[in-house]
Amino acid sequence: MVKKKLKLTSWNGAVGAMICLGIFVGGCGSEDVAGSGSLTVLLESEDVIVEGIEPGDGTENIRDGWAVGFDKYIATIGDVDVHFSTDESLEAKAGDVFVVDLTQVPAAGLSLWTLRGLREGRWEFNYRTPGARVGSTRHDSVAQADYGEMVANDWTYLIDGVLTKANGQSCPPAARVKPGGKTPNGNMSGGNACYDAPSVRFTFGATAATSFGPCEIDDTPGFAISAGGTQTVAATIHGDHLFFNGFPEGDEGGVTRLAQWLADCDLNLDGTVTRAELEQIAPSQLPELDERYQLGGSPITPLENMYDYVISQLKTQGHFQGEGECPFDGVEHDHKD
Amino acid sequence: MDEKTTHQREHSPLSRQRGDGACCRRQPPKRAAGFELCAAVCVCMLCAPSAWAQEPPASAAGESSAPVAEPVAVSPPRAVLSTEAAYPPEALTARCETRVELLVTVLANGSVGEVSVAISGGQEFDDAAVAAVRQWRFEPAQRGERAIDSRIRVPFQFTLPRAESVPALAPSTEDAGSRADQAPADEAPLDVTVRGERQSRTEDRSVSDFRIERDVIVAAPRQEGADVLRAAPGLYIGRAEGPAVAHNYMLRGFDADHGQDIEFRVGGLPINMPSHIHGQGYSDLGFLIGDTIRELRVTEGVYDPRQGDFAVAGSIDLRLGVEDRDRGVRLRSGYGSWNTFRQFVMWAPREAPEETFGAVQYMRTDGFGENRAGQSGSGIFQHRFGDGALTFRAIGILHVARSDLAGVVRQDDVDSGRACFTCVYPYPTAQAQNALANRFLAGLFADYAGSDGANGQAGLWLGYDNFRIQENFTGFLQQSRVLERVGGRGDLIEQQNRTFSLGLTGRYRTSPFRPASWVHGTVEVGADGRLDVIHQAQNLLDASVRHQTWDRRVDASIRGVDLGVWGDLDWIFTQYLRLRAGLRADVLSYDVEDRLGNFAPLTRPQDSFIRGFRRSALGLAWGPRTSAEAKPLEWLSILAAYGEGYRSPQARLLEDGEKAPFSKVRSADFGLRFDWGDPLRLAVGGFYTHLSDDVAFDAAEGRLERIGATQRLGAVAHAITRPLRWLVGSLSFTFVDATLLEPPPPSAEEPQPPFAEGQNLPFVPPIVIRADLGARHTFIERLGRQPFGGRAGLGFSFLSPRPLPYGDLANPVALLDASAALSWGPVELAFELFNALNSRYAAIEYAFPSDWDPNDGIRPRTPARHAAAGAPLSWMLSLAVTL
Amino acid sequence: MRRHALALITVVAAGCAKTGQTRTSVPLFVAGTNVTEPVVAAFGVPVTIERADLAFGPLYLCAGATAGDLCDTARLEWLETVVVDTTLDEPARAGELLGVTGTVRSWMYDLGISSQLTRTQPFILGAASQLGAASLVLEGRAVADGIEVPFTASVPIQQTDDTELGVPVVRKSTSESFFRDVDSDESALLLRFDPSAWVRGIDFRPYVSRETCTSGGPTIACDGGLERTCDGETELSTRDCTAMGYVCIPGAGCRERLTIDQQSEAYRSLRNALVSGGRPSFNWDYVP
Repeated sequence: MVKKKLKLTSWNGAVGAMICLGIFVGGCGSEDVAGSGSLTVLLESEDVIVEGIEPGDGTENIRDGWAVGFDKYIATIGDVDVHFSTDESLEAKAGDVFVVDLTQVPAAGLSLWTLRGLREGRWEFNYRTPGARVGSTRHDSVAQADYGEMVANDWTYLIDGVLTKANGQSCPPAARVKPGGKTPNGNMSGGNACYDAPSVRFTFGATAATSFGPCEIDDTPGFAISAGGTQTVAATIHGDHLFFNGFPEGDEGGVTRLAQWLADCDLNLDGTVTRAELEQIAPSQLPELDERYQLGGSPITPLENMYDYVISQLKTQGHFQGEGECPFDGVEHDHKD
Repeated sequence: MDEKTTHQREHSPLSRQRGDGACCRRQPPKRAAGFELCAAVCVCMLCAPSAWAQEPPASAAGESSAPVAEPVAVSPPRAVLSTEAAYPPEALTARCETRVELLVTVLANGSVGEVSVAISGGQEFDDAAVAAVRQWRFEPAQRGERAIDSRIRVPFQFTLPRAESVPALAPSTEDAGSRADQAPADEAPLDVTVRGERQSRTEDRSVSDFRIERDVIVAAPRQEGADVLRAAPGLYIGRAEGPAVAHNYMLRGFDADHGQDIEFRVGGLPINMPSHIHGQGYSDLGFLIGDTIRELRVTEGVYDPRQGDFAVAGSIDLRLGVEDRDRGVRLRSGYGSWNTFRQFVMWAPREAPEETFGAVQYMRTDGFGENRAGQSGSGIFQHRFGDGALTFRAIGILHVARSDLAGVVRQDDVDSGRACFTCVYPYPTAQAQNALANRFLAGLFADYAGSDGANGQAGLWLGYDNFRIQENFTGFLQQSRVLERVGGRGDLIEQQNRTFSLGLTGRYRTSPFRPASWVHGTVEVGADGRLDVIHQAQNLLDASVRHQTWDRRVDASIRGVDLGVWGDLDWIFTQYLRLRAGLRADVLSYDVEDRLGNFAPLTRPQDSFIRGFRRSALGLAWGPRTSAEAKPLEWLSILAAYGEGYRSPQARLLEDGEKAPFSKVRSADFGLRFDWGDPLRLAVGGFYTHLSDDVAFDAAEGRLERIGATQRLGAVAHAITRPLRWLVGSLSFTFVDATLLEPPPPSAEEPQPPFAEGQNLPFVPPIVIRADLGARHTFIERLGRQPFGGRAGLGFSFLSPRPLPYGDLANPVALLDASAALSWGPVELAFELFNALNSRYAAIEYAFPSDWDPNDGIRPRTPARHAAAGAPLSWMLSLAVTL
Repeated sequence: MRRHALALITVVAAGCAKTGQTRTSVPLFVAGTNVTEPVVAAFGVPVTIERADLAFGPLYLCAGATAGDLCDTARLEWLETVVVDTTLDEPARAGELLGVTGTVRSWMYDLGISSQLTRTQPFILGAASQLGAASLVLEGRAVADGIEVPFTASVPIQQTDDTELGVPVVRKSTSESFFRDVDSDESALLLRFDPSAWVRGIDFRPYVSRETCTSGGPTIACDGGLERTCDGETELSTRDCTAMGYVCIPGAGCRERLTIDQQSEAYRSLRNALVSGGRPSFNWDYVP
């Protein structure tokens, strides 16, 4: 066969170059130059903190007739920590810790943290409710005096609310009660005399430092960042766990809400339940905590007094995107405080 | 002498430059429809010898190649020994008359040198003409007293009815249009030769590009049309969920579930269904009718820019058609094990093109074991029509199937005797498992073949699919999210999916561009678009109480649009090197209306918000598709390829505005191809694929969960041999090492997922071996005026032990199928045996927790092995009549 | 590349592959604590424990930090039940924890009575039915105010209609540390129970009194071991329970022993201690 000499004309060279360039560009152009986006983290409070809880027979009502309202529900929250889901070393933090009154949080949430420059893809979400002493910032919704008290005592929560019920009564444990002149109304509750109490206030500060995460919603962990976009997620604090009949992990659908136990903690029958009173009462001393309660999943053991019980319930209140679950106090994200 | 060039040429209607306009039969494209009739690409480029020999493109007046140095008298060569070209018998039934013109180099010694086809009349005719002319002897051309090489044009006219060829010799110095003396038209005896595909596979882009022709496809017996896929190297298909649910596919280290990693096309119609609730890319090939499958093309890897969504492990393209010897009206009835009855009717008129046929089949069975009875029916119609440069193909597919399902059983229950391997748990919630599938697909494709070698295709297709399944894998573990304190009613999950799809496709390849004598190329541009409207739902049913719905899990509508655009450069440098570089970009958009999104469970006040969550996402995935082929020897090709693709997501799992939801696939291939003709064709190579973000099926969740980046490194060897005219065999061996490269993402339940470096992906079989052997022979030519013959076949599949999650190892699977048939004239009686070794194997295995004992007060929470039984030994006897 | 070629050969030969987790089993042992001296219960009342049989099981060990609903898939589990004599030090083999390797960070268990989603009533499993449908049978003697009170308590621990169905009752708390990277050659896991933790919180003082008949007082008053039947201030009759070998229970009279009532504070104390107080200790280094 006759072979022609290969003449490398400039045109041939150009073609060759184009092809090579095409492959080269294709090869390196397709490398993942991943975009980056931002994350806005909101603080949300559950409806019940702002609106209160109604009595009734529905699943979200208090079953034993009490209505609950919160005047102050101050929480210390922050230290948002996110990790890229397939690369733990890729991390971003928004370390600010705020002391916020959850009753003042608007329905759309409070935008308190922003993370920028997050790589496109899926991330895990973690946050904390530490004690206020850690270096927190007072939010405008919190009075200076309350803030000072929280910092001084290293509280995580400062709660002030009221229980009301038309024919409500308070039946404190006979062994501890100091009626101070009040007369019982004739009813008995498990050997304890009852006193009329249509309204019972409860107010206490609590140290319930907890870390939450990795959070998930609808079985999908964390959140996704898209390049150039801003994703919004919310750390949601629930407010009604004090009235649960147990410590359900995950699905709260099987929970029954009961408030009588709190009314029964007013040892001096002055209409206010304080931390000091809670600390004096052992769970077994409250006949209300009967077989309707299941305390086996308590985050704190042993439950020596009702203040321990309150802290236990407060530790389970951190959620994600409304109803999403966050395991608490997991080993990896133990920023020891 | 370039024999290879003749055989390399693509033969398609496009390539034909006919002298007369009488052609009859449209030469069917030898390439799978989905990858298109191609292009004159090859035709003209490889018609190269003339170019390589520095001849200008054939002009109307044939020129002598002899350089004229001085004005000496030149005399043309003269044939002294000529043979008629045999009229190819395959073309007989099509009753074709055509003309072939060859450019023949007559050497100075009078023998025939280079032969190339100037005007094609179709593959068979060309071959027949070339074969004939090679035997001719000439008196060489003379310049003065010296004998010289010369080139002449030799036309062959193939005419009917006497099935003879009339070779005519036209001296080159004359006008090609005129004819010189005609040799006497002799009666040419019919030479019945069975000829295999001789073409070189110019569409191949890598060593893992396999074209399985019909004789290999039909060698081994098959229980259903889709079983032809078993002949694809490295592909394992299992029917774990009965005839109304798609197969489970595993290819090249990918557990493709119901089709998420393999792009399927049948007759040019895309089969994968995006975001299907039962599996991403769900592809149910239950409608396939084995008799109508002409060729199976398996393109492993992503090296072709025509490969679009779901091509992660590769693409499988089935070209439909009925070849000559099977044409006619055929009826077949079969009866077999477990009261299985099949009826098949096909109409393929002999005069019509290969692609024109209609076929209908019906199947009913009681199924092996418990709860496996089913029925299905399908119809496929295709017609090729049109004339000239533009022809059309219309195709319609209709399928319906319903069957009961047996679900899975726990391995420990089988071991302890509590349940049998082919049984179903004795609860209504397990016995009520079943599935229903309906599908309708129709398409119209136009193929254009320009006389200058440019070609193109445009197509329009639409489809409607309806699917509903009731399945229970986990027993009694679920709780209602909608109803308060309702749970434990049996995890019978009902999934419904309805998809309406519409698509357009088009591509155009230019005529060859020849910037220099030693290089030529073509450019192709194409686009593929589709729109899908999907409605899906998932509920939990209480089978004990008339299928009461006790939970709603999914209620969504999805509108998806996929637009793909590609460009491809195809360049040939000399005859030794071919480079292809293409680029493909796909834009995918999803609009999800999730009516149960933001579904707050019972604890939220229901009147404070409106349920439902709508979101949309759009993303672009693009990447190069390149390949190179070097052909240092005629029988040896070295191929290398690199390509990037993507895997689209399950739309419902996307977040609003998630822009890059795709897993990026990077694939590379290297190998050698040996082509020694019919005795042996061998392909050997290695491949590597990297996936940036893989998913694995989590049976406990009932959906795909992310598991991080993965890679697959493997080797494949595939051999096809046709040592004798009546014997064909193929053997493939695929090895894959599929490993996880990074730990799966953490979740609330598993905050630090366990991960070992180099950990293998579960469910992927490391070794897949497949052997097919087929023999077909006519014993007695005339037994009462009809030929009497028979055929036999063997199919053998082997899967090495697959790693299962949690350190389990599945048992190896060895399946042998055998068949034997006798035919006498139009009647054939066949006996087929499936799983002749009666292997007890699991069609699919999982590991997850389940509780199938609701009354013992114990709930197991650790993952247990579950299996869906594979079919034991079965037989089928069928009788077919072809009119 | 060479590694892969060798891998090819080995795989061809044996068809095996490597995976991250493997199935494993860990022998499970249970033990109590020898209570030689009386336990000091509430208000300094010494209590001698004579019998403390606990129905224990099933037990699950989970990957996540908090078990419960977030432990649908457990790492290891033991699905049987066993009666543990928690006054004995000697470990007894309960069975095998079956599952897969990996890290475990939390645990959960039932006390012989489980709840399932398939029905609202609990299931009394083997060990609990041996104890008469109870999770704990406790017998002992308390000496309050110089008076010895033999007592018995039978405590079933179960989920009820109001509480979480389908989830084990006792779960690891964040107050307890628990972490293990379980591999395939763990020697054994030993759970040790201490019944004194359950008894410590019980107040036995209400079960003894030194009273005489008063107006407005109870019909049956106890004066140490003496049972007084009263009608207001008038004492109608007396019985010496001690002489009969019995004990006088205020409000009830002479009884062979005190049966702690389900509505009593003592019962609640015992119940709370079982679920949210006295947890067993987990010892992975135990070698049988």
